[in-house]
Amino acid sequence: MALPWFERNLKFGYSSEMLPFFLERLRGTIIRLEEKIRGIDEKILSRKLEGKWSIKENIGHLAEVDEVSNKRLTEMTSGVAVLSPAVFEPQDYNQWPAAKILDLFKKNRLHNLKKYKTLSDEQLKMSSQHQRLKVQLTPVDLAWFDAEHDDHHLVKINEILDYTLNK
Amino acid sequence: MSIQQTKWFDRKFEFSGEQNVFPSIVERLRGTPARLEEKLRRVPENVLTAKLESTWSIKENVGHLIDLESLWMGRLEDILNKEPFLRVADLSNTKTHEANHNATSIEDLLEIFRSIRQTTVGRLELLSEKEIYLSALHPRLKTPMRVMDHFLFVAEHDDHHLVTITKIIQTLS
Repeated sequence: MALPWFERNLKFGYSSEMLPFFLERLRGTIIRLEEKIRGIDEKILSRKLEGKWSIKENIGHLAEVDEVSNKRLTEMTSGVAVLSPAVFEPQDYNQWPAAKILDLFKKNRLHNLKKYKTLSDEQLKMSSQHQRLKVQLTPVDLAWFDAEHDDHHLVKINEILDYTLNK
Repeated sequence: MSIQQTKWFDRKFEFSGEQNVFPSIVERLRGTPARLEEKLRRVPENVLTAKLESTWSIKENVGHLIDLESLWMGRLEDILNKEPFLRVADLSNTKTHEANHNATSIEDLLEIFRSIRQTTVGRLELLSEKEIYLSALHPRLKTPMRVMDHFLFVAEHDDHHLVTITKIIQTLS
């Protein structure tokens, strides 16, 4: 069982030299999600177990988080002291075809990856405070944070698939 | 962005976390075959076998991941058998240098890697929470490595080679 995300102890302060590894992980999430749900019935992907998020809702959430991250990247590199809180506008993803949700995630993720590549060495060292965690985050830290968050939801998706397909 | 990736042997690892994040680590390990396959699906043979400045080719990087899987699993058994030290790795990577991975098709290399990684993940999914926290000393780093730390190290090692492969593709494109 995955440790709840909000209970994770997260350490930041990563050097810029670690960014290529984090971007590689962020890029890899697209194909990992695609592989995980390939050939799975839409009904299974929309199923909510014990009132929790369905697989589609987990993927939709990752797409929304990338929109927040995009905004936070702009804030960090503009010298904003405190990052905007993560405010989401969830859609009824269970009514969407899985391919459409994946497309949204892919679009947002590729957009962010492109943005990271435009940042200068100086911008990669700029930081702002994360409102909930009360720590300073640089763009490099944010990339790691998002990669860990991706893995958390991939585990959740795997748990749903395991339960549904192997029960 | 002009950032260079850190060399593997220059990487510093900190294994102090007490929380059980093993499911996320296993998930990362499970994802590597798909990431490699997607990256290499349309790469031409001359790029797959090119050795930039005498470093490993893309095929050799993939072959190296295959070569090391038995070490990773051997170290798991060392910890579970309560050995004081993890078995020593061949730091000169003789196995990879002598394997001539460039002569093997990329399809075969990827299939072998997927198969052995699947076996690894299947084994890890059977471990108990108690076993995840068992440890032995890493022979080079001289630090205690728990099963959880060891496989985080493996996931980071996968990423290191994925980044190296990306760099080769970008350089030759």
